[in-house]
Amino acid sequence: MPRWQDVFDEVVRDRRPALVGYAALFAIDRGDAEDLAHDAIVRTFARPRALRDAGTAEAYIRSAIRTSFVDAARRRRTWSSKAHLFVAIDDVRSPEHATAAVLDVRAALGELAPRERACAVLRYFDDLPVAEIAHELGLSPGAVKRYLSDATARLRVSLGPDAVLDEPAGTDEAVTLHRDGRSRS
Amino acid sequence: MSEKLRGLLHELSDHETRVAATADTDAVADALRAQVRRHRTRRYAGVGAAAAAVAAGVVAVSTLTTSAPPIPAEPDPTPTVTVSPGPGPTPEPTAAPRVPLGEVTVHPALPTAEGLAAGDLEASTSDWTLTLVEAITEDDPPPRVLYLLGPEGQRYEVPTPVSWEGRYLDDWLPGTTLVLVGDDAGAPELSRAAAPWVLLDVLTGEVLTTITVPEPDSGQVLPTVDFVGDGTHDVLLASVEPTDAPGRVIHHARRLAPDGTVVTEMEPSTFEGGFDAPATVSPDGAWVLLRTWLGVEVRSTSDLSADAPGALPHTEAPERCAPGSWLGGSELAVLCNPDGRWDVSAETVETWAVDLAGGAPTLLATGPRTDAQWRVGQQVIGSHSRLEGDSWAELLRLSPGPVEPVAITGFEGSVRHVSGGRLWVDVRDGDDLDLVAVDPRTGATQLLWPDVFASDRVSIRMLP
Repeated sequence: MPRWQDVFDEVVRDRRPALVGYAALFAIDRGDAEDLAHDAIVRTFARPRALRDAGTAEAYIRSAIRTSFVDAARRRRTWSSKAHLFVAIDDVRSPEHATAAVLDVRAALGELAPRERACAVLRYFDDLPVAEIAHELGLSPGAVKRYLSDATARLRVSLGPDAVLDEPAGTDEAVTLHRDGRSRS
Repeated sequence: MSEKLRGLLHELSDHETRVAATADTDAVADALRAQVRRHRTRRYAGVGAAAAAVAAGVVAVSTLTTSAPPIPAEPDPTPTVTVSPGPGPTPEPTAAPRVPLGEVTVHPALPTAEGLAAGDLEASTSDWTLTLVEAITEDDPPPRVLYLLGPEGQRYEVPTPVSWEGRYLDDWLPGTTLVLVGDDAGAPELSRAAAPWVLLDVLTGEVLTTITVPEPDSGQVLPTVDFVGDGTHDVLLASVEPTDAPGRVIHHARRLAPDGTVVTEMEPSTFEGGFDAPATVSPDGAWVLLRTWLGVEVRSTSDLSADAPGALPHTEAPERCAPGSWLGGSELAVLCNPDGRWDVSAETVETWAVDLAGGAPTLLATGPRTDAQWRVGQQVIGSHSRLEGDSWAELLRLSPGPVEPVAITGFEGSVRHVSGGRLWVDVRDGDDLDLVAVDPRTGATQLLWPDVFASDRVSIRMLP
């Protein structure tokens, strides 16, 4: 089994950008996304546990990103004070290089309440059913459905009605929307 | 389905991934690695100073001196797991002839050891510690062995019916056979719906109680469970809860009897603070320190609602100080900014010793901020993080006398235990990371356990 340092190096070298990209779905702000991802990395490796490979570690880290975001753990702003350490290329980071679609979805996510956003990302990015979203976020399934209902209603307004289509009813993960945005699951 | 939204989310994530890939990976990795190591140091140290930025420093390294012979090298590898009767009797910790309770596991990845004798655990003190070692092997399941480690490097294998698959050793109450075992698969610190702990007798496997964090939906996070250690078998369950105010958290704490009944519970209290190690119990079990960023908040473990007595430094301006580590008994290290409000980036701080049992606080040193502190005999030692040099931290003697480095060749920054007037630290020896006991007064060292950390042979979990 690799030493934890080896797994750590591999994760930071190969998977950190994707983890920051994932965190950006929750945190919206780029600096906050880095904070979120970096703190999740630290928390995952800070405790002795059997991290046998980068894949296992990444799963822990993604879980930590989700729960940390919902728990508002990011309020510590630990990494903000170290921003100077992370030199980036300005023209790549600048918003004008993002597509209009990226800017739109970023803005739309930003209009959601944190729990709504977390539920939406886990549902539409991670493809998790309601029961698993509830387990991941420590919420009741009913609460998840409520957050998803509100989130999808807002996203339809922000991104257009075709962005979030009705889902088939009759399954656990289905959140079917009436035209007024209320769920009937 | 909502393919358009799914596509948009992936497009946003991919865009941010590309942006993140432009950062200086080496600088990021270095900073993150330093954070991880600092957390691990604190975990092993039991408590640490307030959340701190990593500071640069210079360490003076002198020649290592050795006052005691090392434990003999591990046996040559053998291909299979076998068990054999333990070696002959040794006088510690019980004086009577030793009759091992069980057999000793022999495996090429595992160290030599003796069998635990009846009464060893009950006779042990806080100088002793338990450690769980898993052999890194293709065997399924891999051998997992619990060892009782003594001040002179004694190793006794603890026979136990406890299955360690997916579980970890969280705490042990010295002088007893009681341990707290957590569920590693649940990764409690990553989820609000924390996995339970069990309080059990490690020799018999009898479960006394199962401890769960109340009300997962309440938002309590990062729970910790520790023995109170005040002569009872009670445990302290502590957690924090985020608030809408940045940097403010709500602390929860309850004291539980071994049967799980609530002995006393703290009124939820809101402070400036973070999420690491929400509460730590003093070595004598009399007090609990709540992790705060500003000011020092302690409670009596007998009555969690009462503010502790005892004089703190700068009582006229408590925001100048932050808690450090427990030094021993009821003695707490407190760090203060001589120039005003506490600042974790302050390079020069006052380090005080405060005896909560009474008496005036003692100024130990004015000098570099240290991340964790330990009392070793008459000396107080601090661990000082740094970004430069071969080691990522150095040990500083804070008291008595002027602040000066404690020279340990190859010191890697982790202090695992304090025992018999010595610090047990990680020492780099080539590719190996050894466990070494060092007397900070003389600099004399004893190799306790070669190549045990960062080893390709074993994964070790040593209790603070």
